[in-house]
Amino acid sequence: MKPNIFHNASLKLTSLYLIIIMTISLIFSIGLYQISAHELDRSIRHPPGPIGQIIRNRTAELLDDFLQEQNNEVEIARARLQANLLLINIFILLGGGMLSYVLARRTLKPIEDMHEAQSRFTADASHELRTPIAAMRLENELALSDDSFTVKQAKELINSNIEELDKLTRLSEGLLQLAQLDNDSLVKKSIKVKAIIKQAQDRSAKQAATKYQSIILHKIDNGVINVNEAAAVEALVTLVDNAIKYSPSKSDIKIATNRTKSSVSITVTDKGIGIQKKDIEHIFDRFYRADMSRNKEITNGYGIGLSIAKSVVESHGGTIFVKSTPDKGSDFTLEFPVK
Amino acid sequence: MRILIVEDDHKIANALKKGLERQSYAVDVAYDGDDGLAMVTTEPYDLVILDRMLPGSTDGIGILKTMRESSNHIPVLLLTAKDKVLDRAEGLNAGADDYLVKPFAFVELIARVRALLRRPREVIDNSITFQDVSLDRDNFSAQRGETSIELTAKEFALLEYLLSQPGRVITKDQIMQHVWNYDSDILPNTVEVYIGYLRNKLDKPFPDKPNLINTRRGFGYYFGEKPS
Repeated sequence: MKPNIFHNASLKLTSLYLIIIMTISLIFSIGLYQISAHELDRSIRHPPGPIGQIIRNRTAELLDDFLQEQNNEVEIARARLQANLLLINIFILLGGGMLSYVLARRTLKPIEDMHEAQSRFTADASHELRTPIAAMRLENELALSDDSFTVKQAKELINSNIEELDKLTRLSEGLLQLAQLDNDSLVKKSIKVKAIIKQAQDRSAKQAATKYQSIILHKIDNGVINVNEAAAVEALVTLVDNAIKYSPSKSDIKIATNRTKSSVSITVTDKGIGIQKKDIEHIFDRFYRADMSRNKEITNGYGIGLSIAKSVVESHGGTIFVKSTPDKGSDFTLEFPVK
Repeated sequence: MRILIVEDDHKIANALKKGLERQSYAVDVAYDGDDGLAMVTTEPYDLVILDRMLPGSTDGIGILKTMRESSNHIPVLLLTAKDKVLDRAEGLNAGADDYLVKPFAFVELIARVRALLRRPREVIDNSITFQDVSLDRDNFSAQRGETSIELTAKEFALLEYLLSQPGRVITKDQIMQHVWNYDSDILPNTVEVYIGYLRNKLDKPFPDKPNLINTRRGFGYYFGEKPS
């Protein structure tokens, strides 16, 4: 139902390709026909060789019939040539047409996909932004129309508003980050792996404490990596915060590093609810909503934290990946190349 | 009148429930698509407020289509953050009766809910009139002839429901299902009690006028003239 510009573009390209193909084919066909016909004529109407001469001298009357028949043959041959060429051209038209359309569609597909992803992102982002605003509006309106509104209720309302404002803040900062990362202008410097991890640990300490969880560091590399400090810390904090959020109270979250010749990786391990197999390849998508129906208190969806972490690590030339067992736990790894 | 809210954001859902209950509607809430669909197919609602984006295997549009395909024509008000013209058209074409974009003002929601709950009967402004009785939603009051009658929220809800089906026999069961919500523990006796209250306010003080609330023995109640 929606006017599909990619479908129209494919049709336009197909007609263009077809015009080009058919023009070449027709020119070639006409040229071929002319040459063939000419050759046919020449060979038939050529003055007869020595044997021909002998026959001519001996069978004068028969010769006219013979020549007449030869003319007919030429005409028939010509007609057959025309028909065959026409048939070939029709095949080229149909076959070429279909092939062109398929190829055009294939070529445009990546652009179409990107376009669709962009629309989905905008729709999701607007939903994520509008929901906290709608919630605040309704709660506040309700409070204003309540004649028996107590101070206790007022405090609850204010806390609720602050909660929503925090959501909005996180979201707008996340979106800004994504916009900046898209611009690809990260300033990198050499920084100790330990420093990055320590910063992330400090940022998440309070949250972990409220759930009686500990963030344990395990065999942390002593060297440096070349990264944008703020972005790298932000990515790591996202992983640690997710680990805290999706793990039960009193469980531990472990951060470990590994250095190879080509890369340095930081892994965050938790013993939480894990991720379903069907969700694993999608969790880095922006605003992906995994089915969290089991635990309704956890805010639905992974928001854009993970997709930001992915953008960060990828704009450094690295990768992010996850291993997870539902109900057992997950390992999230940020891998940065050594430069 | 009984309303179902299908909305995954708890704050929004609960605020809507509270606000609508203050307007004397009976309200149930479902937080995801699957629950919502289950409830709308098993309970008799007069209106559904449906969020378009829902977690679970069904989204708002999916629920709407399922409802309409199984001939469920309860009025549906679609809530959403998508405001593009094409999205609105898609929602309305899928069977929604109205479409509200978030964030919205509560007053607007209430106004649209009222508009959707109007049945074929004489409607003047925000009041419903039947014979010599009129109901004023702005003040939750009723009037018979020239006399104004004060009603409690439940009495008002009950009267509104009776007025929505003039002349038709309504069973106690129907009353329980449309005037109270899922969590209410009511017995048929409660209905009798409230009918009694209404009679005291609507019929008893007007002995020279015909009784409006009548009983059909063994079946239920009806409002107004005897049904054919």
